[in-house]
Amino acid sequence: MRLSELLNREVVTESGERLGRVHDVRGELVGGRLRVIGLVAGRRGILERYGVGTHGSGGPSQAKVHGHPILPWERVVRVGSEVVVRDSDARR
Amino acid sequence: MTCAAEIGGVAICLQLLSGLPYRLLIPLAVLGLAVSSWVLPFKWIERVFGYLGLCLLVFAVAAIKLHPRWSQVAHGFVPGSHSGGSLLVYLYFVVVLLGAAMTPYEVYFYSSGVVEDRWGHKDLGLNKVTAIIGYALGGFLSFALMIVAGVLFLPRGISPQFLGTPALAAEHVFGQVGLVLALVGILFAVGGAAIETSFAGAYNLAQFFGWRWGKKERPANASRFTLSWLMIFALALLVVLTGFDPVKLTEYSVIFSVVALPLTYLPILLVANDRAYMGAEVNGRLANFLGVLYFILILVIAVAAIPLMLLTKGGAGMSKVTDVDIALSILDHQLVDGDGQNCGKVDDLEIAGLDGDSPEVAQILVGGNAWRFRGLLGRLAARLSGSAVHVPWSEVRSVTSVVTLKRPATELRLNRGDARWGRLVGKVPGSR
Repeated sequence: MRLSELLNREVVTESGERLGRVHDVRGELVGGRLRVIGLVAGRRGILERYGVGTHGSGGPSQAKVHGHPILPWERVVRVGSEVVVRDSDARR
Repeated sequence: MTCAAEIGGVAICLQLLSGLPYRLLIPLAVLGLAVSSWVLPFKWIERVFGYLGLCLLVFAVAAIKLHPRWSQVAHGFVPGSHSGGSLLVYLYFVVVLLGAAMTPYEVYFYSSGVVEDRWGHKDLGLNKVTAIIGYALGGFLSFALMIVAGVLFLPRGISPQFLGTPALAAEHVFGQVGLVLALVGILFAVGGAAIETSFAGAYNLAQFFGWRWGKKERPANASRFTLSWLMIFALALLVVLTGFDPVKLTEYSVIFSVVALPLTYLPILLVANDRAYMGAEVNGRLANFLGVLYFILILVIAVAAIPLMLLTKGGAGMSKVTDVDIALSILDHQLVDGDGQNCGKVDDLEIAGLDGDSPEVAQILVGGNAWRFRGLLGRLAARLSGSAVHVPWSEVRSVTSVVTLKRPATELRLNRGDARWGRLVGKVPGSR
């Protein structure tokens, strides 16, 4: 699946609670690979998309990241027309 | 390997000065260096490359004019302060910098050059002055380069990993004159080093086998010596033509030189203590104390060099985990190829394994129908365009403010638009 297909999909919990839309995918650069470790979801961050209100300088060890919590990938149950995640308060 | 790295450096400088393709300039660089080595007398090789290399002093003036905060400069000496907190990466660069300052070929070239110049007892003072000023100047320039990089590039998240990037610092301060001075300085400093490396290899071979040697001899009289330095240039040419990144090649050559350093310095220390060779100039207690201290230092860095290179993946700190928000930091960002040329944008990314536990980015999609999920205009553009180019993520060298690839764009089928339209635009007079 392409990143642009995943972006903007609605995120719902298994019990039907709507958590907002995916507006970014958190990756982990390690050993030359880029692993997906979570989803940045919630209220749309249009300004964040342009780097406003984000953290990090964008340098080699200071990649830009959104300033609010992410949904860890372990919570993702399936990716379909919606992204379904487990019910949990364990947002980090 | 060292000579190959230096030839790659000369070709990059020529490319930045002329705009001609890098691969065309590699053989031209070798030809230029070989002809200079053949035609110029030893003294003139030293003078031409040495004096023009002094253009690098532009970096020293730039470092001062950038008004660095000296407290921050001093903070840079604290281990781990500027390498994402990684002590190992800091130590790796300490080893590389020390290794670059005292590579073995410099010892062989310098000592053989003393014989070429017919120095005698009366030149001992000049020798001390040359060694002290030469090393101090080299260290001073390295320091200046680190300061300009720290002031200008670090806050902007730019990693000066291309040979031409530091030259932009001189342009930032002095305009085009600064840029040209910096590039000429780099060209002659690196070109001179390439000649020194090839000669050092030839000196070693000739002295080991007892051949006639030296630029003082006619090439036909010292034919095996002459063939040796020509062969070193030829072998270096072959290595550079493989397309291996010259900057990485430099790092590796320095690291392997560091491993060989004790084998270079121990014989010098032993000979310096041998009255049969040194006569009245044999080492005293202070010189021996400093010599042994220095030898212990290079022994430590020689032992640490390869483990540090492996642990830090060549200083890239790739073992260190960096979190990145992919849409924010990678999508729509500039792609730069292995030659430092812009070659498109990251128009989309293919993520594999989304139905599993550990999905990861597998490919970068560039151009064509890569836009088809990017809104109405994206769908329209995708219909009018051809297929996207798929670049495997394994081709990515680094992610900074740009995404840098390992290989040239043409090898990855990128930048085809310029080649296609270049045929048309090239027909306009004055366009080439």
